[in-house]
Amino acid sequence: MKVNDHMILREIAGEHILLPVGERINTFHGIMSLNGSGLLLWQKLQQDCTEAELIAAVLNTYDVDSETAAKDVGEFLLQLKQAEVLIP
Amino acid sequence: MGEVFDRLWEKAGKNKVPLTGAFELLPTCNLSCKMCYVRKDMAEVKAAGGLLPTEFWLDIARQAMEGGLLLPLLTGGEPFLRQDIQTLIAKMQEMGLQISINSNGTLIDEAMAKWLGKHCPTRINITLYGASEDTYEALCGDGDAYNRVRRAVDWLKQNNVPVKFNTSITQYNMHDLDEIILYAKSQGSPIQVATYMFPPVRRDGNMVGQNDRMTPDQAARAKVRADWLQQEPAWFRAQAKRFSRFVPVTEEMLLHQAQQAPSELRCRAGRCSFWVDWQGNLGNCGMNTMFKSSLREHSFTEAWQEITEKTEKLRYSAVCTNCPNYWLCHACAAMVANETGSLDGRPEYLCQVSELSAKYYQEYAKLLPEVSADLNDVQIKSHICDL
Repeated sequence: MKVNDHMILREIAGEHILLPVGERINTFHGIMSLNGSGLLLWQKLQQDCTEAELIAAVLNTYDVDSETAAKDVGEFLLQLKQAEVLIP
Repeated sequence: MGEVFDRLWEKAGKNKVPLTGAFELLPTCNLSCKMCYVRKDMAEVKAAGGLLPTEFWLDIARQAMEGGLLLPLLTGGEPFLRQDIQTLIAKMQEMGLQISINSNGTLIDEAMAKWLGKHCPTRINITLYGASEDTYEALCGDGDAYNRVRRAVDWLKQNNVPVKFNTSITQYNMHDLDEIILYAKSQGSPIQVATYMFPPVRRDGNMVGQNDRMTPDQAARAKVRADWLQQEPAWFRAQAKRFSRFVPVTEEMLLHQAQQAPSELRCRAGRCSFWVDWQGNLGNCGMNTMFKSSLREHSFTEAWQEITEKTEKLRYSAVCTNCPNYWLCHACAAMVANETGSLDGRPEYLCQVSELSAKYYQEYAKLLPEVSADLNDVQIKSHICDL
């Protein structure tokens, strides 16, 4: 899976913000803020990768257990799916 | 979402990030509103160097975006008079900017509304000037504008474009205030009622303290009336309580206030908000004629640095900002400058509006236990129509 080009990432005032562009502007009203792990996952998803690879990236970067990492990744992917920016 | 924006505003203000800014694309307008602070005709614009091209505005938007701009406002004059308005909107959206637009709505036809539906702004702010052709004719010099804006709103709604209403109340349309608010309510859109009209000093430097606007009594009545019609009873009661603390100011108090320290700016202007006028000058606020920096001569970064530094050093009106009623009237530096011609003055028009507002809030508040704030309640109108 990877993210499509309907959202772009901008750093504004120290916040990492996802913004809709193109046709997505008409259906996604607002912005999404990314925390550190969200930013890491978003960057990984610029290239095709699996959920397992995302969980591994979190485990390699943060001091969390597998269960927590899997839960965080699952929640993040769900948000992206709801925002229609994830290509399976 | 609200939390994200709260954080953004806080960080932007603290770090002088230009999070929001107005792009005054032109000063011309198809309407001729009597109280307008900016309007010029095309001959005046040409004499002053003409309008700036599409490329200029896109370049400034790009530079500002690189500095942190997220929420630009396209304004005028009337933005939809520009032939390149669609290009400006589309290209700025491609940059990741969340655009809002100020418009009188009268030039938005069905095709434009459909296009906006596909290039949806965060919102379009439509200013309503009346609730009849007669009122539009009297205030704006174009009676049919009333019909055009109503049609435009319908088309925008059909294309799911978020609409917010503004209304500027003067002596020429104050009799329509109730109907304007009812119309906004019927459309399910919020409305912001402006009862204070800045002196049009930008248009004419001799207009300090003057405008074709309501008297302080009319402005106070309209301000309180607008709150009465829009706000929940609990909010109105709290507001009336705040205004019950209005203190009549004596000459002795004025002398004492004037001897205190003047205040820094208390708004976002020049901290995380800017205004680019139609001639390409960057300022901290559209009503500020005090200092600007030309974006035709400087990069956005250079100009923003200059504006933020000057804003930080700016102090205004000790007599006003140390007044015990300041927290009721919130007179800003631009109001003081435009009303008095100086940053040290006392904007007496605003003082009078606050004093009279205090009186009218109390009068309306007395009605609260007896009536609901439901606009459809006929009883309310019969109770308060004489106020």
